Amino acid sequence: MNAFQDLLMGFTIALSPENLLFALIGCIFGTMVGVLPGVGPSAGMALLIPMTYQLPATSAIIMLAAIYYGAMYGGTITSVLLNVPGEAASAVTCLDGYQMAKQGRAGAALAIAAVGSFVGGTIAVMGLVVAAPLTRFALEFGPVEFFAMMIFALTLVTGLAGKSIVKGMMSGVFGLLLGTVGMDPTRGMARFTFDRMELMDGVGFIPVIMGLFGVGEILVNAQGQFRPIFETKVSSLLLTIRDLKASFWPILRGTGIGFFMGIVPGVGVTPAAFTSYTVEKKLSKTPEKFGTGMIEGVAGPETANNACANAALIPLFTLGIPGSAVVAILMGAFMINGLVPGPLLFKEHPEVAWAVIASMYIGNVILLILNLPLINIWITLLKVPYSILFALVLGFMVLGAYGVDGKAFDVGVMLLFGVVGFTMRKLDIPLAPAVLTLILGPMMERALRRALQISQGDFAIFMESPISAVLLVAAGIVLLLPALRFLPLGRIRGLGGADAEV
Amino acid sequence: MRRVSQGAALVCVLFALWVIAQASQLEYSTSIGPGAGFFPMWLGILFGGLSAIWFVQASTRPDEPLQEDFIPDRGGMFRIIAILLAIAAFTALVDFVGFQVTMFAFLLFLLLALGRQNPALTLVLSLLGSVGVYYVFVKWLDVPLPTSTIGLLSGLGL
Repeated sequence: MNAFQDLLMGFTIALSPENLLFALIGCIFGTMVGVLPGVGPSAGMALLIPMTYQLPATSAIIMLAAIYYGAMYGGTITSVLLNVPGEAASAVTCLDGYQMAKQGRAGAALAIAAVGSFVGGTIAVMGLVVAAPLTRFALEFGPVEFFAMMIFALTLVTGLAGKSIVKGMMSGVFGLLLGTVGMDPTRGMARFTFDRMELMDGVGFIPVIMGLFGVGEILVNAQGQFRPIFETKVSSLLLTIRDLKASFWPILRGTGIGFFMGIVPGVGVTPAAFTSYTVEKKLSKTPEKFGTGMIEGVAGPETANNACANAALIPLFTLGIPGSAVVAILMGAFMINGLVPGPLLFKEHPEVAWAVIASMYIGNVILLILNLPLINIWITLLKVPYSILFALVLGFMVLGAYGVDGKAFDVGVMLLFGVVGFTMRKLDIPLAPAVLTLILGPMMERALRRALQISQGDFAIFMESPISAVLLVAAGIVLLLPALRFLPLGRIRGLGGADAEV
Repeated sequence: MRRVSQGAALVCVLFALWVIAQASQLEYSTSIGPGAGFFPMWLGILFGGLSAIWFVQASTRPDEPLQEDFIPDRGGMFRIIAILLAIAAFTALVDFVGFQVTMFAFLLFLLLALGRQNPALTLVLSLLGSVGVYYVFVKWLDVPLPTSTIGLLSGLGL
């Protein structure tokens, strides 16, 4: 079957009443997660994964994917209304979005963000449909190529996450070490289990990410007083012809910027949003007005961040490589449901892969239709004081951690990693690489050991394969790129400094 | 910030040494390829090397002042420790006392002591978050949650 026929099959599954309901629930929860300050998409998805245990695999993934891209839109609401970004990627929207709100144009800002997000997200999903047939090339990969590909993806993430490559790599290696806890995948020997039966299957992924992202975030917020949240009045949501004309090209440019940055693992949505804002400011005839309420300053970045978020699923679906912490959590959700994202997913479970892709089209429509009329409900949610919210979120996290396997031990793991996450934030060590390597580590080790078994311990096998050699050389270049700035070859701008955490 | 970074880097070096020591007790290689200790051994060495680089960077780069809120004030420290103790207490008690009672006490403490909410609202939210959630998860979502092992409480359906 070709991609179009596969997509039609996916739509027939995604448009079932049950799956439509789950997509709707996911969009609502995702937007709520994006709206609530202190609960990022990572923690939000981790919180809601336990609710999907009893669902069929396809429905569970549809709902979790909807939470993921729903959260991207939710963060916009607080940026515009409160000058507080719901998540990092929406920070740039504060610059002009909040100014528009102060001028009584919050409705127009939210409306153009919704329209731009819809356009960017839909075009990115089309890109996923086009990229899907390319997975047959990935099926040619053996353990050598697979290991090299993961090394390349990880160097992109660790090299681009945060300000320090050393700290990014430390975070990545820490996640790999966590992945070695439990039974050795080949020989069946217990490693770092401290004779605890609970650790024989490894450290629980859900408790770890809940701790790192959820509890860690709450501990950071607990340092200050739990301040009340104030509201801004929302005007009409109608856009003028002038608004639409001014936003047309920023939305198109934002789609392109977000899409191409999204398919590169490790870049993240935040750099895409900031890049779009910078481009719009440079191309504007009145750049001095940016920061005073220019609608272009909302349309471009909001389109870019949603296009990037959807495009980031392309490496996950086609190669099985998560490009960010949030996508890694989605990958974890796949695996919990007995599915392995990557080229084999299209071969062994095409109905799941194409149903999820089709549901992303549907989800973008749902978000557009849903979020504009529901803005007043989200505003009401923002009136819930953080002094109540933090307790409810903590309660939900504790419940979620316990519900993974019905063990109090997992709540203890979440507590431990809450302290670790808090400490990492204090020391400016990025969290995203640790989450990615926790997911990829066991697969990397299996690929490495299988490759060395084939070559009887000879590491030269990694350079004998052309694909592997190219990927490893590229990984080396990414790691050395910041150091090249200091050579007398002119100023070479590195890619560092971008926050890959979502 | 220099002292803090140096201290953290040293802790990481010690952690790496511990990993290497543990990995050395596992088989490094076998007749058919790398053993269980191969991957963690090299990860430990890599982590130790990176930690050492971090220590050197912290020692040689200009010192930066600590962020204003790097060390929480007294109130902040109290809230952080209270949250951690509350989660620890939940972990220790949930299988013994049961989910409903433990979660009720957990929410009650957080909302009253830290959130400083009024008692009526706290009671309602704590009941919804404990008993309400229990019934949603156990009866509707079919996710098992523990009941109390204490005779009196289990007799009450808690």
